[in-house]
Amino acid sequence: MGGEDIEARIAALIPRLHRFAWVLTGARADADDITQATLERALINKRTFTAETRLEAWVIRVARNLWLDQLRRKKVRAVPLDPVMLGQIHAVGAPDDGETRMEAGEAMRAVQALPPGQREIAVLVLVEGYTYQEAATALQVPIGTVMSRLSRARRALVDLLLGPEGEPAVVLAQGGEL
Amino acid sequence: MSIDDQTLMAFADGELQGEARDAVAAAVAADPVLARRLERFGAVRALLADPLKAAAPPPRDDLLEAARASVAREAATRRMTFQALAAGVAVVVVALGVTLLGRGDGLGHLQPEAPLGGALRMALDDTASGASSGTVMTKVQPLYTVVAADGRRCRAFRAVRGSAAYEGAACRSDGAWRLVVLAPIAKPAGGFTQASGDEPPAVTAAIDALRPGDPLEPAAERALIAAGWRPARE
Repeated sequence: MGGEDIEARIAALIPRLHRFAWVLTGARADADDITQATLERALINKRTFTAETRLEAWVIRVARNLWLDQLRRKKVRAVPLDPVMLGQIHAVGAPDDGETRMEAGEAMRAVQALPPGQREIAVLVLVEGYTYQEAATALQVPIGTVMSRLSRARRALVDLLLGPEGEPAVVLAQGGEL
Repeated sequence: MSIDDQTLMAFADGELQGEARDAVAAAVAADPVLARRLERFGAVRALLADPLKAAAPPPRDDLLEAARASVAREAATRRMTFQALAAGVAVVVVALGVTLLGRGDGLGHLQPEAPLGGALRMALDDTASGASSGTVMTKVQPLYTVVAADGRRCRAFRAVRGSAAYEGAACRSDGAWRLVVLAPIAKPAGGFTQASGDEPPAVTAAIDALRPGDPLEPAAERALIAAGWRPARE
């Protein structure tokens, strides 16, 4: 595969890669850092990629590993509600629609409350639309692990976003165990 | 019929087929509580995906350029280091690797720059990049083929023998493959599938020092294999 072809394939993945990193981390600067580091790894390894390489799964896996490294380095145990997170969401070119911005803030807060193992799968399946098998391939885990983690994540998300069954959502839980 | 949450979610996500899907559909139709639960599970996807996709900030414009620049800087540093140490450390790495690879198997007792034999030669001669070949003891997978600035055909490869694994490169000259570099790596999990680790820096530096063009397309590589790697220069 020619170098230009592979670089074009890598470049085409940037928007999705960056969004994946943004939802995982909840911060644009972290998403930029993880995306750039992932691109560096992809460029270093580009000679080993072939037409059959599942490049998207490869970059998602690398980005996820970089994120886990970042979490370990920061020794973050819980993600408090980032006071600028909502401000960022307001500022970043979303449609000028107060309801959408509020929903995005609530969605981000709910995702950030999930432990890492559940968060990565919830983001891939529920936000990025991966099938269970695609998520299992990208993260190199058994499909049973995808299903069990997604199940726990989704029950938590349902309670956070819709409130306990039979009650309207009033207060969103904040933070959470990493 | 009792439907657990995991199955109900798989149904909501379109992951069930055939009888399994029909059974859940029938159970949901007959049970309003289950139907309500399914609705809540299904709603989560829209509550997350739509607003987050709408609000996602764009990537910084220069991410790819910054990544290219960073990789180029590192490559330049490695190249300088490699060239400075080429007569010393790199050759030691090669000699050590060859000794380990060559001990008691079909690879023979090789010296740096001596013609390669055994499993390594056979794989480099005949095996397409991405495929693997070898003996019971030694498996070799060519990774890609490039043409060096001086016209030599060079191939990067991965070799696994017992618990040891290596990545290296060899170039074709005077009718034989000659080792350029060989570096130990962690043994790839699951055999020769796409390694998640980076190419060893010594290998990257050695190949960069050849100033190669882009890796050859499969068709061009096949043509060289069919022609016995006989380019104009040999």
